[in-house]
Amino acid sequence: MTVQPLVRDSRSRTIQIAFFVLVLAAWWTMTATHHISPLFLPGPAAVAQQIGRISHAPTLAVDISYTLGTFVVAYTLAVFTGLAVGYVVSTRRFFTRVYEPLLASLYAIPIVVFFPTFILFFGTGPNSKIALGALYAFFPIALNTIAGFTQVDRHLIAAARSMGANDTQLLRRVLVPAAFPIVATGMRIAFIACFASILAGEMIASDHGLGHQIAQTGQMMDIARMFGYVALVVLAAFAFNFGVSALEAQRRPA
Amino acid sequence: MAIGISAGHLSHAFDHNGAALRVLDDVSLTVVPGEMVCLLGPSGCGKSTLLNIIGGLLKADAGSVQIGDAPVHGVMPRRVGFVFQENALFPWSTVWENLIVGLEFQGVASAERAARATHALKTVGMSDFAKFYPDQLSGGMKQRVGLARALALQTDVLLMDEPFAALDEQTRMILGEDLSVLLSETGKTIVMVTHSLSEAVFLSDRIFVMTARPGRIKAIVEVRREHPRRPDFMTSAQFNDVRAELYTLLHDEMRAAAAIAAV
Repeated sequence: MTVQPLVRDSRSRTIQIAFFVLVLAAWWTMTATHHISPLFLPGPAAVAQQIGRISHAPTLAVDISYTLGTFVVAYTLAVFTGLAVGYVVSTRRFFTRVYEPLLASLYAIPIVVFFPTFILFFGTGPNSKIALGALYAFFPIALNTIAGFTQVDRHLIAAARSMGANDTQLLRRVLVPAAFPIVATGMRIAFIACFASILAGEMIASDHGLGHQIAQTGQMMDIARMFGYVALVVLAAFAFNFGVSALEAQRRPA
Repeated sequence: MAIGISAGHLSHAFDHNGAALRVLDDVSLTVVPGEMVCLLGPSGCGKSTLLNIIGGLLKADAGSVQIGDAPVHGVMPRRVGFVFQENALFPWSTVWENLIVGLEFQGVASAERAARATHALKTVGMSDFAKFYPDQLSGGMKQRVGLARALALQTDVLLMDEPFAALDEQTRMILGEDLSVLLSETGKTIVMVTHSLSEAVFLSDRIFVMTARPGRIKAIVEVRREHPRRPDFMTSAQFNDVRAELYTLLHDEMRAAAAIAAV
């Protein structure tokens, strides 16, 4: 699976921008004509106003750094353990035969059901969300790392060996670049899963964080403010996606 | 300075779902320095396995190989170069980087790497494509680059594993003609695996015809014609006679191989 960068040429860009304009227009029309109660879905103007207010609130910096800090720790943990476990499992056929199906079946478990356990063990602070987010991110990274390294074309390995590549050269110049696209896809999936599960964790039990604010404002029926936070999360996700696409486009030849 | 190859009593079996699949049965052969030979045989007869054993990519169950004065225990990157089918170029690297990386593996100094790569690309007529990625090239061009990569290593022995298998017939013919010129100039000792009768006749000094699995040398056919060979060789009576001889030798083996495959 390769993901195209969002912006490619002017024609596709026009269509992409038009999509978002249409969504905004539909949102505005539905709320302005009172087809949907502003109690459930406030209009774009009301949400924009709330974004303005949120951005002036002193709590915003706390919430963003809380969520982002949790995320960075969880994702970093998952990347290091996922790459390490995945690579080791890929090095021997026996390991792959035993552990790949095992990891795949563990990945099928909806890990969120263990979140109450994580709270018992790690408390309502960032650690319980780190555990949740790291686990959600670990599996796609580990599984894609296994897939990436076990599916390297054996002709390429034979070619490198025949030219005298030692183990380090083989890893650096053949295995890593050959596995890279699949591993990168795993890391992208993991990123999304990690971010979503941390927000969900914050919505269930937390004192701070963007997810906590969304749950909090929602429960108090301050829906415009809630959508203000939602909009911030969406923007953050878009910004990330844009950044990764640009990076991948740079790496891909032609 | 060319060196010869000798292989004695090579036997090999693969594990096939727990059962031993014999692919080579007591194969011995000698290639004299500077000679170009083809291994010709039906699919699955073990000709690629034999090539990999000669080149040290695979260890035979029994038997030994000697290249020049050295017994083969593993790859010998300074003596033996490989040309594989077209998918053996690194797709994430440009043509230039593909040539450089092999020299880097061998620890060739960086100034010399550039000189060797430039010369090898020129030899195969691909100088203008140094900055291209493999998937921007046609199948024939990729094979030229694969050949250049092996030439840049400046080995005395070149092993080619069905290098033209993925190409259309016209591209094969052009590449075959160029190869005949190029290889006669380098004086390398060459072993090439093919399943194309015409290719074998056009390029070889001698052709080792193999039996269906388990592979044995069934016959050795000589092609007495000096290199480089010109296209008109292909329409000559000599060419057709040798080709007909090979066809007769191969026909029963192809039938046998098809019967094995059908089981």
